[in-house]
Amino acid sequence: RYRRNKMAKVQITYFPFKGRQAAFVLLLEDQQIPYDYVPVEFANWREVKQKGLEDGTLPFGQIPQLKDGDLYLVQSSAIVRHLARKHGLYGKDSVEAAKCDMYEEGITDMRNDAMKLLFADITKAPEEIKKTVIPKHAPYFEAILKRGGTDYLVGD
Amino acid sequence: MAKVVLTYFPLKARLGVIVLLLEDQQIPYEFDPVERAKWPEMKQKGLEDGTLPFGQVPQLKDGDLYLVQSLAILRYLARKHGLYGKDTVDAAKCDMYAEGITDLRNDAMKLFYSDLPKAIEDIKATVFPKHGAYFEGILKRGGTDYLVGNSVTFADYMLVDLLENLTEVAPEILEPFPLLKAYYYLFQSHPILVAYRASGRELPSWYTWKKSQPAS
Repeated sequence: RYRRNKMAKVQITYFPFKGRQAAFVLLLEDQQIPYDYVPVEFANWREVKQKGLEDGTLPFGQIPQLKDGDLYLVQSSAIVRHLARKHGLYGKDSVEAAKCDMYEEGITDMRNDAMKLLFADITKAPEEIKKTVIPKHAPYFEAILKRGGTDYLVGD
Repeated sequence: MAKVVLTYFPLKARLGVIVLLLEDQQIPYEFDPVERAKWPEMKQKGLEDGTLPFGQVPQLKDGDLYLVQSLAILRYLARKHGLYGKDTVDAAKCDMYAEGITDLRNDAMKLFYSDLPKAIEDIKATVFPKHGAYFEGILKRGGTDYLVGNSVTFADYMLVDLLENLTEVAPEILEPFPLLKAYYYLFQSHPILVAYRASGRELPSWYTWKKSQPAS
């Protein structure tokens, strides 16, 4: 804990909802890693986006963004991976790291299928997700957990 | 080192970026093509024994490790062969640009398999102008022949593979982006890649394969 407090805090910039920051905020909170949060008001977003595109701190004109010292990072998966690498949450070796990556892609596939429905019709989406997304993807993760035999997706 | 084994349909598609890395780096590998008629049985077996956890190929076998998901395979090979940037900051940039490339791919491929003529129109009119500008900006700020640092990373293989697929259907999309265009053609002029393309070993793209099919 002493070493962690000596590290400069990372800074997160995003809209004031969970959205694409949820995964790495979950990581930071569960691991008790201190961070600063800078909310972006929707009214200010266009200006923030324009400035970020011009100075390169928002290379794709999107947030969330993580500032870690001089590093400005966007893309939520890239932020998760950076924090994972920094805090020993990427598996114990390259084989486990590969499994982390493999499962992350499968999770993203499931997320994309669910989000497609949510953006198409938010009222119908819960039923559609129950009928199609969960029955398709959940068995994959059930089997992964069954074969792994631990409380985690990868290793112990 | 024992050779890795790649299993996939005999198309570039999701395998292309992996093969591009292996060929450009001259890493030996074996390719085990899947016959379409045998796929349902293979998929079922793979789901049951866990070697195809999501019922999909490509799959990489490296010793006892069975890996699926093309980007997981690509990252594994990148880590193994020093193509993930020189430090954690560069690794983070590789990941960031990989996601941006995936966003471009997703936007471009949205209608690709269902309404190809419309997809090509969208790519030319909106998708590529939007995303191409991001990568032009990245290359301008970076000032090298690579997306990250001063040497090739897996992010470069992702971008070059995608640009190859997109310029095949819409050759002129790079014209408004001089740095991106120069980056792409410089990469494709690697003598190793030129020899590879001339060798006849290259798999067809989905677009090439589709054009060869009888009209449905």
